[in-house]
Amino acid sequence: MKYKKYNLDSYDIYTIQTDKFKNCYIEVRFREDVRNINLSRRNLLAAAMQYTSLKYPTKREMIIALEELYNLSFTNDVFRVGYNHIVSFALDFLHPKFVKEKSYLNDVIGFLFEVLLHPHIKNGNFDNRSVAILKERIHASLDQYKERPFSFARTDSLQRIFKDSVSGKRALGTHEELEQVTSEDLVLEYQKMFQDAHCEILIIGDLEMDALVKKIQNLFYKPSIALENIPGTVVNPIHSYNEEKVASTYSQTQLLCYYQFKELTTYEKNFVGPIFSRILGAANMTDKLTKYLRTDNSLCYYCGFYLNYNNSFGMVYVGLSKKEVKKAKTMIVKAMKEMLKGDIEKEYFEQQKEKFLADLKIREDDIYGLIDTYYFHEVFGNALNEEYYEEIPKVTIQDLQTLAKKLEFTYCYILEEGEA
Amino acid sequence: MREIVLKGVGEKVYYDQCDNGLKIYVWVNEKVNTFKGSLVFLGGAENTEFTVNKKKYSVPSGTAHFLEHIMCKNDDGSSLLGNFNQLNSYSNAATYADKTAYEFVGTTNILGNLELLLDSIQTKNFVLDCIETERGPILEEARMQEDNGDRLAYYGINSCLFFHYPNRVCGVGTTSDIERISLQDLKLFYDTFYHPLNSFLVVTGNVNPLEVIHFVKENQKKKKFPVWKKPCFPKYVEPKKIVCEHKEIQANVELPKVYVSVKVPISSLPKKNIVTLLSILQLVLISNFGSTSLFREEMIEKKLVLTLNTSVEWERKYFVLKVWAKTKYPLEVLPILKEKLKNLDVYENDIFRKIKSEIANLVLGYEDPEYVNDIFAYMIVKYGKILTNEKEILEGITIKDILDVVQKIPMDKMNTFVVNPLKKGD
Repeated sequence: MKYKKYNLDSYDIYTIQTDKFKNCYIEVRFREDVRNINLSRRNLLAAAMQYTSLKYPTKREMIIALEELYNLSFTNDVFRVGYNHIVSFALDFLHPKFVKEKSYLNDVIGFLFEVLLHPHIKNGNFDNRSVAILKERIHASLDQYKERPFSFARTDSLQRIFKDSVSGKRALGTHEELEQVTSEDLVLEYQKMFQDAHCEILIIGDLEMDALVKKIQNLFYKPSIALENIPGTVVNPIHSYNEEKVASTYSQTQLLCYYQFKELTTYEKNFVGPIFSRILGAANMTDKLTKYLRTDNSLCYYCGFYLNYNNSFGMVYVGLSKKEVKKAKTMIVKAMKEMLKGDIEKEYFEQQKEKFLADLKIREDDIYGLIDTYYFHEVFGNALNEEYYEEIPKVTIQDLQTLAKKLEFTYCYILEEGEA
Repeated sequence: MREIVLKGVGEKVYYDQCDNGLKIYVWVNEKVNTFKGSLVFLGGAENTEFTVNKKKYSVPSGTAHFLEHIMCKNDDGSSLLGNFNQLNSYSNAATYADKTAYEFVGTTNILGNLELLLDSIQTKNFVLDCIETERGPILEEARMQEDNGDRLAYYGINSCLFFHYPNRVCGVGTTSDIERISLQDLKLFYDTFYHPLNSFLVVTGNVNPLEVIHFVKENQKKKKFPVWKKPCFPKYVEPKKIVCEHKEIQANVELPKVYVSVKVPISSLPKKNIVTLLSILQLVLISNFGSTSLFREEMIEKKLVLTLNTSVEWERKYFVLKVWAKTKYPLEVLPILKEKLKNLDVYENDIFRKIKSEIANLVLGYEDPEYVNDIFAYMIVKYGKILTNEKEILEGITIKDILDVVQKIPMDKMNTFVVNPLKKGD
């Protein structure tokens, strides 16, 4: 596997050359400070750029073009890392050796930049017909989280605990903002994105990277260089403890416990946090939360814990019956106290570290995971797998205790089931 | 050991059978780190009634799933998944309508993983306390299903289409089913279905096939199993008519979802193998309602629907052709979808472009050990074997084949189903 970074004039390209996969993958990411953009406008722009283009003026025509390129997959995504709002456009395609057409790679790359550089703008407006369809679709997407109790609980609780912070905002924007976006706004937004955003291109596959980068340089030009350093972590003020109960029509109650923290060290974020999370609530049925909530007390089917480093909190989640909430809370507090006291069997602790490294090996078989790890290493300072292999064995139970001390139980959210 | 060649995709599967009847399938990818093993039993959620030695038995719905949970517990109540953790692997289990699968995924010590899987699932000590402590989590799992609009629609539609098939209840069972599942039910199911002659093992990924097959055969030689009870199943006589033509339910959806489903007797279609028929029906539905159809484009542009999807399901002697959409206007959209289904077009260019796409997907698919393992298990249960000629089947489809099938689809047994949002205050 060969990693290579290309610092070009106004964008960077990160490549991994490997013959491990039958497919190849290219992604273009536009990254900008979330505080400087209108989320609804940016999200609608991303959707419109993926929906149609000047060359492919209907979705149908675009899909036909993709199918002709051996079912080329062209997708877009919008997500946030700390204060970084990222819009991505990705192509997933068969390695050219499986295809008889010699021009296949050129055709694939040509498609991507054709679509990105020539969006469906006519007479100073994005295509009104597409925009109207997409607005309707995004309105529906904005409400989709309400269809599952856990996704509702997570979204609603984040908006409540972080109501004045970026951490509480949804990457999709809001209904109100979306309604106000016009086709002309999207043209300005397109120009703003190309002007202000950092641009990074990620490529992985068995390709001649130097030659491919040259091809891209010939096809893709971004008018300006973004220099601003955007923090990858949002540090929120630590709230005093609060508990909220919300009524619902769902069949199952959701209990979410938030633990806030001030900044973790890079070492804690990269190496201690993953082991802490496994032992507390993410170890395939052997963790403390599963033991106390499910195995010993039959309170739930699922429960867990995850650390959200980019928004400085940890969250315990449980789906259970309303009448069991009090008992479950006691068990969660008990599990967390044990983390604080370092009450962890040494053998189990060592085993979980080994298991974490074994899982990394599995992740190395994932084309998307590999390129993402490289990107997050280069842009946000996350560890590369080689560093995990070196550092994880050094993590101690004391390290977990130190991390546990930084966690403060500040918010308990209960989404109560409706009456049967 | 013999090699099964998968024609046209450059792949092969190593196959052998143990003396006790357990079949072993191994597929190798040396470029990856991962391997996956699955032990699959041909007994699942729909096997609630069966006959052994002319004696009829029945177990509550949800028994196969309850047993799956119990099989994943050690005698002391701890999780079997923890034992796989000690081997640096992770494991899981799943109950389907027609099978129950136990699986692991890891990167080191394939033989240790196989030994743990075979030894812990092929023998079982049923501990009453373990059963009772697991009932709570299973009840919570069942309550989760009640919040899942898609699941409610799936079983609701089957209830509208089928009089007798056991595909109308969620495999987890209802809360009252789960409450009454007993130790005897679980033992009965285990003794009836969990036998080498009624199971197979699929191992995929970075493994040595000779070593795997030798190890499994030696492992099996050490074990004694009773004579298999070989259950017989009810011969469901399912009429061509449907139970009801229209039904509406309320669930946790934000926008109404409408479904049009057609119950198609396989006997009404031209005599072709089942895979060819399935492929043709899928291609026809996708070309009429999929992302390159003019019909879909028009429906979306008129803002009649937000999404439009299709599927073809195989239910014993019937296919179910299904078209569904998210829409603000369910009553306007349903007749349009019905009408289009009654007048399916055959778009030659479109269909052959989609066949080319499918072949590309087929080539790409043979890479990920987890995906390949799942696909093999699916084929072995559904078709009784690993298909060796999928590419040939796709390439062999002609426009005449498609026209023959389309002309024979009876569109008169059609159900419409609407999932409405819960009203405020419900």
